Amino acid sequence: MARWRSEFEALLRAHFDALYFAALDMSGNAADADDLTQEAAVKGLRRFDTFVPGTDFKAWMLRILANTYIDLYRRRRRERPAGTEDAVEALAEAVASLRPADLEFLLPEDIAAGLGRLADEQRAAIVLVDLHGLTNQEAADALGWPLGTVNSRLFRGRAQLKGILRRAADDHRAIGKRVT
Amino acid sequence: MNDDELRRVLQNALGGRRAPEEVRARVLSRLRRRPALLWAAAAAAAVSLAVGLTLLLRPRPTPPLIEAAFQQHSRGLVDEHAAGARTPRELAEITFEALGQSVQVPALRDAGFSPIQAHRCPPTGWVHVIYANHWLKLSCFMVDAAKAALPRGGRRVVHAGVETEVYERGALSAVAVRDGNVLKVWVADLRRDQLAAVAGDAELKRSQVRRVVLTVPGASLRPVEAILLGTVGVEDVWPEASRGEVSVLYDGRRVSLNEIEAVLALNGFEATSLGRDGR
Repeated sequence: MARWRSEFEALLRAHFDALYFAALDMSGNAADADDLTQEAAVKGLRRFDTFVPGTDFKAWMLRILANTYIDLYRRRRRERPAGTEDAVEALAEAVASLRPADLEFLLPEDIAAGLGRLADEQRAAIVLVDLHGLTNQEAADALGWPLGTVNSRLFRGRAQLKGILRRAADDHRAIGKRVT
Repeated sequence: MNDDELRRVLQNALGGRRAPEEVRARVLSRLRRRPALLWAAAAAAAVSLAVGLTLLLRPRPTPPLIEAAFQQHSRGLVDEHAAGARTPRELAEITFEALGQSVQVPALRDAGFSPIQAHRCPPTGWVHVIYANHWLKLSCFMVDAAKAALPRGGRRVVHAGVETEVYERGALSAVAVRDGNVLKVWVADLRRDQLAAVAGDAELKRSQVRRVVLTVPGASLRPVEAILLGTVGVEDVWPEASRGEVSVLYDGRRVSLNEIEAVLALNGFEATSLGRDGR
């Protein structure tokens, strides 16, 4: 058993950064990211007997993390009222999309901030699929959503993100804030 | 920029980050404080396996109502029934005629499905609403709960507090859920937990989804429809060009009528609410 735990720990160490930042990108704050990472690690250790050696440990842990996140998300969703900015900004940012030339005006923190402004469901789908390489089906299984839901949330989330980043780039361009 | 390029942007910008050392140390040290965890996990796994095998091997007959739902779903569209409906007004009318009560047709846009047709089935007394997206067709059969009890004999699955009975037939799953006076049976080519999630979410949303009819005088309804569909919280939009109206289904938890009107006003469309069902 001790060897089992040390094997799990070694794998967790190797992929800890990815796991922690997936938690941070999905939840949007460090406190939740800490809790999510901790809880996912404990669940992973409990279920380590189901992990097939030689397969993708990172993807396996990301599925556990996503499942943990969705439980937290569902508990909190009912408490959060709709915001005026969401409806208006969702429209405004969907209008103009990102262009390759806009990247000269965007820092990594701008991109992280843009991701943080997406709706929770869209952000979770993009973090798992686009940032961490899960397939759409793996993300659907992890989040407990139908595949069609993942596909539509990815589609809308990507469109929203491109609009948000385009607007950020335009703002930086207006003040001459080039980064490359 | 296409989606592959966006993916590269995200990975280049956000890959290679290092987690704070104190977080890493804290998580790993807490794992080491759980020596009994693995023994408990092994014991729990053995018990679960034994229980699972027992349940799996027990034969489960399919109730007649579920059997009929599987067949009707597979047979698909209009077949000896009334003509299909398209607009929410028509969906509401057909549902009212079939069930003798005003019942909200479930909103599934969050799950990626739009209602494309509804028809009554006089022999069974139910109304069959067909939803679809690009990949999948999904059926919702609604019947007066006074005429049909919640079928038992399936697997009980609880999704976010909503209790469902789940059945399987080959690649198809069926989920039965009772919502007050109405019994709903969902059928689709989905895994049972996925379909239970769709059905459960529809129930959770039921009390929050609202419908309003807006009149937008002098405007083409196509851009209005596009703007509304891009608004967070809007479930579905049906323009009725002959009346100059657009029917909007929205989740009241995520967007209000005032916000919808504000979004349209921001884009130069003055919309007036006619209330629910245009009354």
